[in-house]
Amino acid sequence: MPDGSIPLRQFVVKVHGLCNLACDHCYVYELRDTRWRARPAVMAEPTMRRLVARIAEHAHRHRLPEVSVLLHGGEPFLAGRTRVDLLCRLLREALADGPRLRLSVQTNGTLLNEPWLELCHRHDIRVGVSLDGAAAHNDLHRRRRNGTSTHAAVERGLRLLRQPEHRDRYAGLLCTVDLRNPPAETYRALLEHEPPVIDLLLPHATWQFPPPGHDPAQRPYAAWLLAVFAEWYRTDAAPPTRIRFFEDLLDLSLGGAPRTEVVGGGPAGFAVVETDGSIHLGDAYRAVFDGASESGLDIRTADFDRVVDDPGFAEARLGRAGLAPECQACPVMDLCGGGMRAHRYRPSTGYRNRSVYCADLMETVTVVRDRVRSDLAPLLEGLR
Amino acid sequence: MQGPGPQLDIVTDIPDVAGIGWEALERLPLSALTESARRILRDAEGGSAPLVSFQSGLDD
Repeated sequence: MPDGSIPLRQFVVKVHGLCNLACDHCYVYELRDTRWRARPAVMAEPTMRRLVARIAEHAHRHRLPEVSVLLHGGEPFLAGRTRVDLLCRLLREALADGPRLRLSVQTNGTLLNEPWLELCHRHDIRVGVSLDGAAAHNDLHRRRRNGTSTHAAVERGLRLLRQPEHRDRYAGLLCTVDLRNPPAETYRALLEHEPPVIDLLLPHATWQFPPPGHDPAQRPYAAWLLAVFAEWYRTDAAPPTRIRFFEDLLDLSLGGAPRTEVVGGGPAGFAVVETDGSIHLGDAYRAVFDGASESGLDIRTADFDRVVDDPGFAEARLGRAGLAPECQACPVMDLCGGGMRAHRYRPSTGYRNRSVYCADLMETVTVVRDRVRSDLAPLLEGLR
Repeated sequence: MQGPGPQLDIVTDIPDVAGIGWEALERLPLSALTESARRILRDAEGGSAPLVSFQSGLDD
């Protein structure tokens, strides 16, 4: 059973708390959380230095073979190259004799340019870009403050990232599902940018604030996801790209372990550190209630061992052991793992509920599992 | 939604997947399924299940 003794291995660092876009589906600014307003816009140098020391002491104490640092925001490129360069240098110096350091950044892509990519090469930073499909899909939500489209600017950034000299920096695309966007068309639009990986994100929601179009009887999110799965999944050829959500479902269907917090109920290996040094459970909690993401701990006063031992943080990392009784008894619990913990929230019962996406997840994981298992037979037979 | 159920008993088939080994797996055409088997074999060799990552970022 996961417990507080499991060290962290991924640190999500909010180097900048604000954004140059005004996406109306943004979980940072547009859902329940308002505390971002009171935080510094950018992570200050003393906070960065303290954070690096905390990460290094945690990594060395637990002899971690690898540490991942994800630069995040807001829009992390708003922090400026000097600041990001300093943070990366400090991290590389502090971990030079220890674990392998994996650096990545998640950006809206509009500020990607040659100088940023030069920095990404220098520090071996991989770049993930958020994009919801073609212009018509993307611009349903991803717009500037004056309401204008961002798609052309993201496309420009992606064209640069796909150039042969930068291609190895390209981590992939994150796409938030909108039921109004046709699934196969959305997927094909993403493929045009040749992403090595795609992930499909369900809008963060709870029982109190359900997602758009929520309908457990019709299960529209399952229909959307399974339409993409039908396009992506082949038994006779490699898929044109990886889709992290489906890879997790395949692995779980074959008895493997999940890679992300979305399905499978694995113990979380990450913590989020805000621009002010406060330590948070994860961004999905910003959909729950104001302050729900906060652990109450801070890198100035707590090391990461204290964080993983903290009862509130440990409870959030229980994985399958923290599921509601109805989930524990469910035949697909090993696959969906109850979905994301934040999506289970209901004011009267906290997190001990099935997911607001339960019906959609159950259908999705069942269809994928049955398909994978029926395809496994000839695969194994061919090897006997 | 449970459907008719799988055609195979996964409990007995998974050891088969692990028992295939890398050499035999390499002979199979690359597909989402064989990639999945490769990840499971790598995890089995590593000896522990990976901790899960933050969803809203790509770090691999």
